[in-house]
Amino acid sequence: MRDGIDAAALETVLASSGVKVTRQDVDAVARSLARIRDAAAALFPSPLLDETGERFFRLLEGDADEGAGR
Amino acid sequence: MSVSDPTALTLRQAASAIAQGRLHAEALVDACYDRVERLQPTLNCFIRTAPDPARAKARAADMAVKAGRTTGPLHGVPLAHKDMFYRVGEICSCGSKIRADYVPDHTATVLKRLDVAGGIELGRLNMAEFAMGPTGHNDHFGRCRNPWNPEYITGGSSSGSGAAVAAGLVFGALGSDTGGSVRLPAAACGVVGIKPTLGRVSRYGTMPLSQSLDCVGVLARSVGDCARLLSVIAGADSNDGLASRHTVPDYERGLDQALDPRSLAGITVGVPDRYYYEGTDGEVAELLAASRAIFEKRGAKIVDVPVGDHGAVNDLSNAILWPEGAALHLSSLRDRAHDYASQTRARLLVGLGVPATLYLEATRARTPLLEELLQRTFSKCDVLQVPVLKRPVPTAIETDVGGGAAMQEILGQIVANTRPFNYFGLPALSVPIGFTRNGLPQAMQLVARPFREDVLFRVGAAYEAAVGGFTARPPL
Repeated sequence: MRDGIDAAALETVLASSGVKVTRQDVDAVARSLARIRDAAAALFPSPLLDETGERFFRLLEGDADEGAGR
Repeated sequence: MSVSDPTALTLRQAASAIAQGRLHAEALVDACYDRVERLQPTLNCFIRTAPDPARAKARAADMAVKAGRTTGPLHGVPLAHKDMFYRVGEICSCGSKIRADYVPDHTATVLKRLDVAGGIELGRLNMAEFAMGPTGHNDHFGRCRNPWNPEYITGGSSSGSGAAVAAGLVFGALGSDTGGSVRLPAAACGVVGIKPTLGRVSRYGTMPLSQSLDCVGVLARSVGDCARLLSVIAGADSNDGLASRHTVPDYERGLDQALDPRSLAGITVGVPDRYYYEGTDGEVAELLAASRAIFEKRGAKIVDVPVGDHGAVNDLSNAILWPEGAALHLSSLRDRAHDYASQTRARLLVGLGVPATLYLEATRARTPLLEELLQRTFSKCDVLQVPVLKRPVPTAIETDVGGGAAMQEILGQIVANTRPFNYFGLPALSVPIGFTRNGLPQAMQLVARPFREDVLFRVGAAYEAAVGGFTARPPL
């Protein structure tokens, strides 16, 4: 385990992409994944069941439309 | 009018002088190339120059003025761009060995718009390999060096853009910003840089890194110059379905009012109550406080505003950036791994390990997190003010970490304050605020609601006017 990440499983995932990786590479990726995982745990509201990526762009555009009257 | 050193003009001053026949475009192009020739060995800003076509365009521009023909807003103005904007038939290296011979079959929309406006491209500028790297190091083309002191970093990834504009080699430059790549070099080199709202500028014909985060931005020596350049390149594009159809305002309109001593009356500047100022170096904090005092003198109100856990947002953006980057580079990572710099390769590998579900969750979470930011924070202010860098600009040696274990920590510190706004898709302007004791520039970052670049320019221009303009030039 590296930072709570199963390094052996991660190595298998990385290798399955067809990219050659070393143990050092796996350790570095594990460190980054651990930080991402912690951030996700801190931030994700639940549930996200009805959320779509598309709505983000509508929010950006829509906020500008509303801004005219602000 | 006699212009003793035309390279010291702002872009708008140069354009005006050319349009009025007081300055010849050809003479200006020659003056810029003279500086390029003299300073390239020190700064390493350019990857390629194109003097013959540039001089031919300049002569044509002068003839047009003589003939009284209508000129565009950039008529005869020398520009140069990060080497990742495609022009049909011309090599575009993307700062890499892998694309050393890449010749695109189409031209970027932004380049076409700059051409139509009359800009003259002097050449292609240095950059981080594939726009991945916030320092200005490049293993293939050599490190771009800071005009204020070559031992220090330029910031990246638009390293050549920041250095060339600051050194007076060109009047403006395109950059790209996926995590801070316009704002960081603008800050470290002492020029103005804007990352527009996601979708404000077409990305057709630009090297992609992350479709969810990439923005095309500009760097120049004044706020008004950036406003003009953005007015030219922004807007809908039939070749880019993700380019917004929102009307592009004339960003220069009203900037003359910046000279009014109460030009910021009615503007509220928000200072985040967490994350962005935590751990900020004392010298940097003093410069930021001084800039807020200037805002207040101009009539702005300063308030503390709440923000969420943007440190976590910074980390979470990696769940989007690296999978999208790795997917683009997968084939080359398999077959030409040795042709990537170790740092570039190490960062891309992260993308191979992010589960698809996490990538999608990070993408979908943008909406509620942006909603929260707009409701909790921007309901209390018109712009946020935060540091671009929390510490003085570091040296090249301090940040030459390759792909080793220190990489994540060192690079993470540099992009800590810029990357969250790519995640949110918000516009952000980097504005110089003076110098730290090491002689290097510092900058504030102003951030606004979506598509409110006009507000950023208004606030930035008021500050610029209050300090008498950004007239300091590097000791070259």
